[in-house]
Amino acid sequence: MTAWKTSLIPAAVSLAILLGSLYGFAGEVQNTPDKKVLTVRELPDFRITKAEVLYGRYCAFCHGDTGGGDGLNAYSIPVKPRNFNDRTVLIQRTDEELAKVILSGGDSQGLSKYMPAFDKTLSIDQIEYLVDFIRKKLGNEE
Amino acid sequence: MEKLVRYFFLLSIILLVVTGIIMFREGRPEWKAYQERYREYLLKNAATPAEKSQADRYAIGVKQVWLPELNRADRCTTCHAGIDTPNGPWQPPLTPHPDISPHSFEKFGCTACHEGKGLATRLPDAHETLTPNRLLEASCGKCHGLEGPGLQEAPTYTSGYEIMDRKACRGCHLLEGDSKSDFHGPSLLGISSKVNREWLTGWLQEPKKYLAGARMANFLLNKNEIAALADFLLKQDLEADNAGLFYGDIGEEEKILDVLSDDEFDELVEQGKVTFGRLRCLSCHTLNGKGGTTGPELTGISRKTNRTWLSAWVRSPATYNPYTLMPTFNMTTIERLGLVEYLLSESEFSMLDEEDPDLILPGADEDEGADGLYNGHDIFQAKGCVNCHRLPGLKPNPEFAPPLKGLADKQIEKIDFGKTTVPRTLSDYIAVKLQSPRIYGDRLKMPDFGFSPEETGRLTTVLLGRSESIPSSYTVKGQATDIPVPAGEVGDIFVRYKCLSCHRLSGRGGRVAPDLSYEGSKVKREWLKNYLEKPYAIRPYLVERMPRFNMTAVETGTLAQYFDLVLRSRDVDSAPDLQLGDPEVGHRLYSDKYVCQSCHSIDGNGGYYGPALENVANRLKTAWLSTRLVNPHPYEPGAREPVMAIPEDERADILAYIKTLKTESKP
Repeated sequence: MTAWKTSLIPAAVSLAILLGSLYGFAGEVQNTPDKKVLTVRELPDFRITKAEVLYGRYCAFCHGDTGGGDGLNAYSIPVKPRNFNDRTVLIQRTDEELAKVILSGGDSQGLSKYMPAFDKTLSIDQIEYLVDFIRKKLGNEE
Repeated sequence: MEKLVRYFFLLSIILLVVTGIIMFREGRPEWKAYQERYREYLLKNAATPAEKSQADRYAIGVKQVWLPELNRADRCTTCHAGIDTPNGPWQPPLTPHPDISPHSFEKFGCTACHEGKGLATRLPDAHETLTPNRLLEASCGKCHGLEGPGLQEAPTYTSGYEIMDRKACRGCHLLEGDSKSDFHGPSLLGISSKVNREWLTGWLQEPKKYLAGARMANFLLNKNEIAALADFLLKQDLEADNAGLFYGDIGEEEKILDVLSDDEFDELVEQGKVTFGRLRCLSCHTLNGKGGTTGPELTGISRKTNRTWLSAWVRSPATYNPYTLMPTFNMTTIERLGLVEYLLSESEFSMLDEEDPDLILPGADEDEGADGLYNGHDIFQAKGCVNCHRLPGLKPNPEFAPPLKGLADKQIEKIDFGKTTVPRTLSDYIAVKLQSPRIYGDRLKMPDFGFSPEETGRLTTVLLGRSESIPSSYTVKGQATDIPVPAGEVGDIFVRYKCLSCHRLSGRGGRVAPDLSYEGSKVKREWLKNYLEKPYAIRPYLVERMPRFNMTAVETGTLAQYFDLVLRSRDVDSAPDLQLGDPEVGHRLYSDKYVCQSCHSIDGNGGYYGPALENVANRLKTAWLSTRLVNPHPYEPGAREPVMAIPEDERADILAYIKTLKTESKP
């Protein structure tokens, strides 16, 4: 074997080590077999979490924990709260329309006056999250 | 020679071209196009001369906000030119910023909340260390502290802090304001008379197996360690004096049970059930799927403890554990015996009969955990048990775990990610550590709390907000917590009835019942005295209710006086007196404009999310009612009532109407 060919061996070895280490670093988080560990990117959508807290505080007592319009208070007011599980209703409304009812109350949109306005309680962002939450989680829309 | 000149010429040409390219690129940075688009829009849409001249004055160039107090200079608006110009047909990066008043861009800049590199004007440098939007509420905590005012706008953050409180992170980690841990888990003295060895070893192995909502974490002990720890704990007896006090004549009392006929026994259990309801045990304990989580679940209690201990505990919890959250209830021996029998009988029905395959017997297993500790005393200290459970002669170590205050200020280069491939960001470090506490090294001590992905996100949000680098002129911590926890006679009553197990005062205590910080500005003294004697349901749908403690007249009088004199809000008290208006107009506003009957009832008509209003003028002070009609949130964090912002003249009318509802002199 000629001398220049011999000198290639250490070069090839170091290249292999370099590639190998790059491959190693490119891997995902090592998970123990019985437990999946999530990075921040993979955690559940926080806008939904946030909306869930707000829904529980302001909405669920009338609209129900799962949005069926059957909260405890639904039986003590004359107009039944909206059932969000009923997809036929949600489909007819745009996000803007839903947001307006939350923002300015039912009366302003020609709906039940028993739905209060939340314009001074919730921010525009929070209302957006709620609309998203109502559609995706309670209305089971894709 | 000529050849050399030619080479030199060629080299100069190449250099010229390269320099030209560099200069051209520097002259046309990415942000220039954004700013031109923005200026074009301004010019086109300028309606008034003022707007026109403003648009003319908009100069293309690097923009910067300098915040000397925060030691920051943010050039983000160089690209994000449209952040304070709503209603434009914007595409990123020109999209306007959502309304975050009262925070102003001039005072806070961008990176105080969003992090990232403020001085950079190129991607990806500028966004390299950006806090992910999903964790952004973390930044609220930098200025607002753990529970400063205004945090109700940050639900992810606040719910994360509640988890931290519940899981007692403070036991091992220092948070801001802490110099040592003041968390006290259940006392372990005399545990051999409380639980049996099987239950204890099972609990040490995985607390969630007995109690899905257990506050204690899994310390990932091996079988040898569990056996040694159990041996050690079961030897910790109550001090002789205390044991005498605690058990007293319980043995004698139990003889009553022997002489009861079957029917009489059934009646006793039935009575126990009534007592269970009357004392509102469900406010703190869960039984068969219903109830609170302040105290341990009572389902399956007969697997854990025995009749004698339970009876002695219910009689005087503080004798066994001075730091318990459970109040002392004044009840008769028969009531107590009945209560205990009721709990044991309920528990028998829900008891699981399966054999536990992981049962750990006394004595060490030779094959396993050769590197583990064999001495229970050492394990108790090394694993940090002592930080939550006090034992005589053993001291908690405030430096047992790294402090959490200032966590967000940590430099990423100084964090040890071990051999993992976790992305090298602080938020990922925290999130992964919470889910798998030993992932960065086998020798780490943090136990496994079994946090769900949702809980992990909420906790990461809180932890990422633990910064100590914000100057005090920006922080709003502690405004709600300026009333000291009472001492003296009032303090004794607080301790006896464990008021702060459920109520909150000065940022301490439970979250089950209303915050008491402004109770004196809220309720009338006479009403309060009566209520403490005979509590009733103000919000009937709640499972958690105020128990009837059978307080003495002196106790109720002292408390009512203390509340009325001390627990006041200056803002509420100093509001000018409202001249009451027209009750007729108030009635119309109540039922047509603000539709209060959605949530409040009068004589049974209306909703019941809020308290019934027929006697509200007996209960609440006028000034308090008036501030609530404007905005309930400053005085009741997490209030469920929307902000109504009712103007003064209408408030006067509504309050006049409310006052006419004082129908009877019922307390």
